[in-house]
Amino acid sequence: MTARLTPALRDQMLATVPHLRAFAISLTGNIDRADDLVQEALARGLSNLERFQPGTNMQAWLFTILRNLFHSEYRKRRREVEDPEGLMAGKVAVLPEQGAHLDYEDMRTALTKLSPEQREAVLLVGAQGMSYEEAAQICNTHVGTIKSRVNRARNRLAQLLSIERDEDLGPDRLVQAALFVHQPGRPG
Amino acid sequence: VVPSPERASLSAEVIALRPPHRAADAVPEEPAGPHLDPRCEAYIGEWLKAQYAQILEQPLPERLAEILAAIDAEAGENR
Repeated sequence: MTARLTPALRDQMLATVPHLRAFAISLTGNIDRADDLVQEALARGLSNLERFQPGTNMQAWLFTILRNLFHSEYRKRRREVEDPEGLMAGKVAVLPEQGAHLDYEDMRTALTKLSPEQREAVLLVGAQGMSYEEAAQICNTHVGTIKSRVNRARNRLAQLLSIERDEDLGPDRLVQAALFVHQPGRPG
Repeated sequence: VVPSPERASLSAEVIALRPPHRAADAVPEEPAGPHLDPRCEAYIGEWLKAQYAQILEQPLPERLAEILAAIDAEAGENR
């Protein structure tokens, strides 16, 4: 490890790891592959810490490293079928709150059917809550491209889940959606 | 208006001479596609956040916890 790992940098790294792992699991659809990626990203980050500019975004830096590792690996594995044994669905399904949303399994499966570029864009913006600018920086592309990818990813997910119009949501989903959506004029 | 062959050639040269990221600016953005119904979009967005939150609640596997402990120790020595 490097001698430049200060307590402040350590704190930033440690705080990022759970988010890095959530991104990796959602991106790969496979927990073991995700943990390999996180482990490798941390190793690369630590061995290249002198390249990190203090005061900049440690989370974005580590996400960029992990994302680049994922794409390098993806190119090597391109001929493999994504999640051939449903590993993600099987392993994540044992989490608590499994019954809280009836559509979890369908949603997870749909997510694995997006292209890697659409998946990473919708995860960074839609799940991780990053700005389009941050996501564009991590994905090394333009903000407009990220916006397009996020929109197309949402459309594709809706298509795969057959919820392209509000009447497709059904009563239960509609109640959930109504709770989610921001109502004009509502405080906050 | 159809540019003259000289002007079209010049434009191509200018684009070719740009640094890579400038050349990429000339490439049209990927088509965004139609916009979803807001409630469907919200439903998908909240699901994405919820599944992320579930993963965040999981304990880290031992091998990652060991790395974090090593990072912690390393930073402690550099204090």
